Amino acid sequence: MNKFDQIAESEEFKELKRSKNRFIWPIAILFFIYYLAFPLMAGYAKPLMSHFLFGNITFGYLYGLTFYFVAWALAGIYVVKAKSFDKKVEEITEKYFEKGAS
Amino acid sequence: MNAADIFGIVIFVLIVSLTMYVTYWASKRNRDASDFYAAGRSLTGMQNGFAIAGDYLSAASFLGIAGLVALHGYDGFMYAVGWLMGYVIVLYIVAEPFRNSGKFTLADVLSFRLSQRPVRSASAVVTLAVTLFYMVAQLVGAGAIIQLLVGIPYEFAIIFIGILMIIYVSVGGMLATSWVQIIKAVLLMSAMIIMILFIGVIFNFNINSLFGTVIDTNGVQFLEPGQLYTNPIDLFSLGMALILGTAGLPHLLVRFYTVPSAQAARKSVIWAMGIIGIFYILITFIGFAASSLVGRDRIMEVDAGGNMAAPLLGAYLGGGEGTFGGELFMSAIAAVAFATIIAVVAGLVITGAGAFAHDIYTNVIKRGEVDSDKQFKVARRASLVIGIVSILIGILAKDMNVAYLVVLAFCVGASANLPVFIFSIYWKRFNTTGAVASMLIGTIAAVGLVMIGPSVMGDNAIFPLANPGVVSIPLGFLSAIVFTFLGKRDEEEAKYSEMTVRANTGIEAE
Repeated sequence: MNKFDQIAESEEFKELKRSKNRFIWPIAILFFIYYLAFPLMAGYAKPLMSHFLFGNITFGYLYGLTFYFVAWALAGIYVVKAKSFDKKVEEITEKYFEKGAS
Repeated sequence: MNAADIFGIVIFVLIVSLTMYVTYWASKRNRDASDFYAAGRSLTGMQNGFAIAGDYLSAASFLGIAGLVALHGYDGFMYAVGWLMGYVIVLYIVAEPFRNSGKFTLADVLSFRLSQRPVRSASAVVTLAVTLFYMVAQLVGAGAIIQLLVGIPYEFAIIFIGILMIIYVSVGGMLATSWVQIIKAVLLMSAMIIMILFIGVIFNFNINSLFGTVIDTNGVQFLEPGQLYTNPIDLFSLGMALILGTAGLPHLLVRFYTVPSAQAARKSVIWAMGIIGIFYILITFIGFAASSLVGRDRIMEVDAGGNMAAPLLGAYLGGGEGTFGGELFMSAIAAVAFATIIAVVAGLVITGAGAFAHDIYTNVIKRGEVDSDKQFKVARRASLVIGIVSILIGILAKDMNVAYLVVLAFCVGASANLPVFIFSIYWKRFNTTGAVASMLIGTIAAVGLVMIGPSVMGDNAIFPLANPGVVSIPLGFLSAIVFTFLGKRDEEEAKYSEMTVRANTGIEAE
């Protein structure tokens, strides 16, 4: 069995993949749905979108702006979470790869 | 020739000399295929983030979206929002595994665990198609814009841009291309921020008063949806192409090879998201300000498509059209628009050259048996050929309506590249049959539906939507799954372990 198979079969690696998948997919899919609600809202909820919330600012404008801030927030969350994955990766490579390679 | 024109020419000459100097500097570090395609993997995350922004923010974004907002208000704003959204998918799903499992091209990743030659050929064809659509849109737009801004003939503008992009790419490789893109990103963002400061002073840095003026000049319906997009399904379809297509654009993805690690790739997406997000928020302010300060009538008088909204606003902010300050401002914007165009087309040339030289020539025709010296030579020659072909197509496409080609590029990216990438990395059972079928069906569906849609056939369209994404993207994913089960299992299935370990850990990444 070569190194890659060995790692692929290891509990640590499987756990890493599981926790990564549990993190990336729900967020990516929810974000996808959240964004695609936007054109539908513009088409089918025009009164709400055109409603003035503060002075001359409409609901639709603020709603549109939320996408930028949500995207940036998700980028921040990803960076924090990815650091914990980096640590796990380091443990795995140390255990299976560098030691085994020498 | 007045003083403002001379000022414009000076900025223009400065930009060209600076990028030429960078190309000369990069040429000394451009020694092998890894330098040529991937800048020797020497960029930092921040540098690559700026370069991604420079690669992505086209003249269509700068001039086109400002115009859309200026003419159609809220719908233009809504259109602008979509362009950042795809980066969430790039960051979460694509960037790091992509960086970890490839070398020079998108096909490196897609063919990693599948049968090399069929998958690589299909992927190279898709890359060339996406690059071609994007390139034609850029060049035709660029020729028209330069003609409008500077007054030089269309063909001359195309040839001039073409020669510059060929020099950057074939002499300076990816390093020069990256720095041209970084310089452009800095110039473009600076120009925008200066304009925003001027606009801010007029409206006391108060968004409410900006929108108040917009309502006074254009009516309250200008801030309501439905001015431009009357079919929500078409808009939904466009949204789908933007959010999923960004992650399937080859010229953007290959930028991840220019950094040394997955961590740096991550950092570059973060920087890019910051710059690109700020850009699209600010550009809508420029559009709204132009709609009330310059006026829609004047904007449409100069260019019916609205492309001159930002330059005209610049002239207004500088003191008015015809004044020295106004002309000065307009010249500066013209120079920035020019830098924007050359940075984007250079990125496209190098990507096309990779698909041709690295995928088709080196790996499919010669089966990888090409020494590194020869690879480097072929890559440079391919960039020359791609550049010349682009110039010719750009000239032939004059006066054609090519605005839909950018969205078509996103659509093909989402329908043909993204499914194969996702299943390659995340689905063990995926196989060669599924990959080739998905790439072919996704591409043909996206292109075919545009051909029979309203963008090409006008009122006689057979397919009702201008944006085919809502059909072609699910079709790309579905055909990947269906044909995987129809085809036989790959002999290389064992390589999935290697790929998944590499993608997730970066072990042995080049």
